[in-house]
Amino acid sequence: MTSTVEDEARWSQLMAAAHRGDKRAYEQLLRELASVTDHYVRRHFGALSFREDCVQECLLAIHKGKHTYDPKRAFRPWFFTIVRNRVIDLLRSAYAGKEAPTMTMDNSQTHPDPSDELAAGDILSELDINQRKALSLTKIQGYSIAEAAERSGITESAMKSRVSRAVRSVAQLLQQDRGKE
Amino acid sequence: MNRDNLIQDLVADLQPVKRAGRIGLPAGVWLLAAGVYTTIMIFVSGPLRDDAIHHLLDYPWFAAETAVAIACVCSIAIMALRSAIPSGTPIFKRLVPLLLLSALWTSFYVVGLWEPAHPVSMDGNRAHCVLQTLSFSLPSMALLLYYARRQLPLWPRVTGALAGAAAGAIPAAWMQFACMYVPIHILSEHLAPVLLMAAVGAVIGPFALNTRQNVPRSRNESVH
Repeated sequence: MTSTVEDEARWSQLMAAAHRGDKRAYEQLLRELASVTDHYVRRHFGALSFREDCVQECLLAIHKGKHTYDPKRAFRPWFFTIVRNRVIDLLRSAYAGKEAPTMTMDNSQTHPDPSDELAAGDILSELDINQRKALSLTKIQGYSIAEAAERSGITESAMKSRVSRAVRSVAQLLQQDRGKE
Repeated sequence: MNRDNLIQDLVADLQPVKRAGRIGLPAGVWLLAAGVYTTIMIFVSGPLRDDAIHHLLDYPWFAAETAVAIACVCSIAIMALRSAIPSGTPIFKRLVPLLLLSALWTSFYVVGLWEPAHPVSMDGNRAHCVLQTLSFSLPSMALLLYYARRQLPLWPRVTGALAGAAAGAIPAAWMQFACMYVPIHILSEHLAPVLLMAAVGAVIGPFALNTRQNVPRSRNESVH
């Protein structure tokens, strides 16, 4: 296990090499960042398969925005800003009904209730039970807002509001978590 | 597509990068292009106020007001591009100096309601200065959004709003010389359109800066 300082220096060097066109360095960097992103999402959101969407979205964003990284600056803030943004973007875009990600349970994990999976992530465990359930129904189990509202015995607008508040809460919690990255 | 395949695709797509993380060049090009374009449009649409340029020497507060306006234009444009580069500092914290500078620019005219920096004059009155400020801004905003899109805009509403404000601030600053000098008129007819352009930018930003459409593989398929 390498330290944060070593990671920082190595990633910065690898990205600088990638800027020069070094494909081996770039591949090593992407593999390491994929692994870190995977761990980040698992830690915050539990062992759900939507983390693979997050990982791939982050890799795509890093690739598209690699020229925005200045090797004279720290790598981790640049990288984790992209990761946080993409995670929230993925949750929000699913809520808005555009490019809804496939958020099925991870096949390698066997848990009876997606809510338990959500609770396994430290960020989501901090949400109140209603927000967590709203996220579980709409983001994990794939119910529409109308179906989720019916199952919860509330109106559609109330469910929309809960999901929206839950996504905002997740965004705030991820922001507060910046120091631990 | 699985992760390994994606990484292979991205590695295969790698191109060397020049001037990584620098926004000086696009900012400079934009300021030059938007400045020249707006100047041409200002002169084509009507004359400057008589002796307006000379008044920079005659009235120090008017010169200071103009200097702050130019600083504001440059700062907003640079911030629009910076906001499209991921950074560890929260975006709203990064905007604080800019908001203070913009407040300073506005405060000249608010104070000017009682103590104008320049003698109040109806000379140079333009019939459609609001429309001119708005219409002259649109091409500049489009160009700045184009440059921002080439970065990685993670907060497209903020970047769009800044692009709109920067584009609107150039003709607003020119109106110091091209339209009548009456502080209430400047606030309502020259600076208010800057806010309107910022609102327009915030609305179109998420569409114009949709970075997810510009990735090196087909995103029609699921990432799985």
